[in-house]
Amino acid sequence: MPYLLYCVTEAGAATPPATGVCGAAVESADWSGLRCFYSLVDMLASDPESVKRDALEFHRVTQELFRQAAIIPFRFPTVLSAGTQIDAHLRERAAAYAAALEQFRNTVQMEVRIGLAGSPGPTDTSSGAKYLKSRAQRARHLEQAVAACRAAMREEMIDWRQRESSHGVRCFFLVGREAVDRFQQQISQVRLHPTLTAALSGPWPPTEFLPVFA
Amino acid sequence: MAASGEVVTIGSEAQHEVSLLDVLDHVLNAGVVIHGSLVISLAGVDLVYVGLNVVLTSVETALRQLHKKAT
Repeated sequence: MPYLLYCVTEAGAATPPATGVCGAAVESADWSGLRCFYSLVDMLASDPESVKRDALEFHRVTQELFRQAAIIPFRFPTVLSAGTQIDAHLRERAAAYAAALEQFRNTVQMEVRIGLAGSPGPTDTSSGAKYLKSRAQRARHLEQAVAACRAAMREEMIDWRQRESSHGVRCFFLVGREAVDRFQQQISQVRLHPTLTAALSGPWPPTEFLPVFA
Repeated sequence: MAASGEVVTIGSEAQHEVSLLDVLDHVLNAGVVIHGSLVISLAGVDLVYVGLNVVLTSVETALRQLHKKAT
């Protein structure tokens, strides 16, 4: 039966919920001070509604563990065909996972998505020059918004990442666990250009700040 | 940390919908990718078979890879 992996934590740091995806028991395997949580899942359905349902269940399990301790989540669905592969994987990455869990032990990731309010228009298309000017103006507004968020969070944030998205910019802040409430209060006071909108989410496991595990 | 540990979304958009999309995006597109030995299927089509290894990823990313390989 396939092993669906949830995440890795330091051994003993967190207690999982009893059941996870597809109602399967959440079990664990230890290696060298690390604990990998998984469920034995007979089959993962592939229709969109089932994927959504199972993904949300996966999120519930990882969030419960994350509420208690630092986690390194696996991407859903990460499935191995044998339990021995979990041992082999942990053995291979024990040092890297342990270092990351220690580094991010007391931190979380907060995210701010900044994008255009409403539909993308109107863009002045009366001429090529006006169109480009309009696009440049929007890009400036986005840059200003990103800068305003970073300035507002400069005391709380430990690290920062950003990525362009199809709708604007995604900003990722690494903050201490104890700073989440302050972060939410301060970021909600940032003023944006009327053409922009922002959505804050978190706390998440700091996946944007994890090293690439070779 | 917020008392319940739940993900909180603050924004001027439909908050529930944004929150659900955020959750799915994080679950399907963030986190560690592991090389494994299991090929998963979608609608009867084997997905993301890369040489002798399989990289398990989100369905959307997997479909993008499939289209790339086909062209």
